Amino acid sequence: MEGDVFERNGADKMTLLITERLGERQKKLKQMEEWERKNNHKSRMHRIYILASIAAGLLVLLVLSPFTSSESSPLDELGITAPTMSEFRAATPELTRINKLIEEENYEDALTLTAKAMSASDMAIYELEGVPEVWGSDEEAAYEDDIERVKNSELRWVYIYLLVKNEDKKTAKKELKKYLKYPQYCEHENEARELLKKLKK
Amino acid sequence: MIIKTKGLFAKRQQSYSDLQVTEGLQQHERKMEEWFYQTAKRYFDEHFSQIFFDKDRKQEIFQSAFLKLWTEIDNKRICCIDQKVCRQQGNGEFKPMTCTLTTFLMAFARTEYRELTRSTKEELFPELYGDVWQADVMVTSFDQTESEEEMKKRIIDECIGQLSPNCAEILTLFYYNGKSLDEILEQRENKNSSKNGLKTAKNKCMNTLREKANAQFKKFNLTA
Repeated sequence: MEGDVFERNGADKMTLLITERLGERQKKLKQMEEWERKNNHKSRMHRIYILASIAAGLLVLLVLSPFTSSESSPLDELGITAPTMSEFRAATPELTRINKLIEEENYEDALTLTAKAMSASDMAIYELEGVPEVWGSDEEAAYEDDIERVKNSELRWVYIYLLVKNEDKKTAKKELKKYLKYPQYCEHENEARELLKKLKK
Repeated sequence: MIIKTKGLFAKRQQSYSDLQVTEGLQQHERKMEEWFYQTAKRYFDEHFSQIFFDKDRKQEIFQSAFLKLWTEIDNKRICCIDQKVCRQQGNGEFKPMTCTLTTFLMAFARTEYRELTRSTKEELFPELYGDVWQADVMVTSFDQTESEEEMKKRIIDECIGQLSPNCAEILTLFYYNGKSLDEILEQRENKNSSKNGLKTAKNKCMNTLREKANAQFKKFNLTA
């Protein structure tokens, strides 16, 4: 009869064999527990690495954000899209070229070309006002003047748009004031007023 | 056995064939044992995770199933013959396995799952499930090439493998770890009502184990 503690010395072969096999089983179980601990440690480390990577990523974004994020354009804020002059009656190859440059987002060249077209248009208006007889009848001259003014107004609006795109807010404000001087030709009067308000802020 | 590793940080791991695993485990190669454990665990997690809500239960089932498979390989019930992984059949013959070791492991896990359900009921209704045995089916068979000692070990392993978890724990603590009944009582906390109850349980478990083993020894003319 066994007491409270197992005595190996007095045990029979079967009991010893059972003891040995129980031991083998326990060794295997312990080994598995160790692997499991290793697994848990690995997955814990894995989680830490992931969290650390995310934190590092966020930190980098935070540090770089002043350099990467540009201030949103007032044009975007007001929903002002690129003006087109394709439907304009007095469309010329020059205006078509401006349109194309805007499409290509080449705002710098578009601005230069628009400035040229605008000063030509200013000159034309000046001529029309100054020497109406060149154009024949007054009525005809008034008509031509009207067309040129519409064209001029459209060009100015394009010019303003391009100034904002080129981040020249100061000139844009000045041009907006000029643009709003002749409300009868302002197709974009409301947008222009909103934009001026926005630029003044 | 090729197991895919998932995830962003998954490393490209070396993989071994079932043949290599079987040989490695029989030669007690630690690295191979660990690799097989981790691979099998991953496979188990990928295919059985949805079944279990309880993480501990899932782990328990996996460990029991893995232990069985490991013991079978260790005892050469699963071995390599003519570059094929073979398993000993009921009549003692070895036949090439028709499934991979991981699939085989899953079959063990399925049985373990059933056993676990049963042992849960056993804990809740001990009067209905008072047996120390988890299953009645013994798969022991005799191979002419196997030595008597190997055969005996294998029979005992199989008998232990069929013990209820409670019995296996008590016997291991008492016989292998050499703990006293008082120490076992303390270690197992409230699992046994009294020292006498524990002693009775221990004797009952050991006697049944011996009886089962002796019956198998007798069947194959082995001396106890």
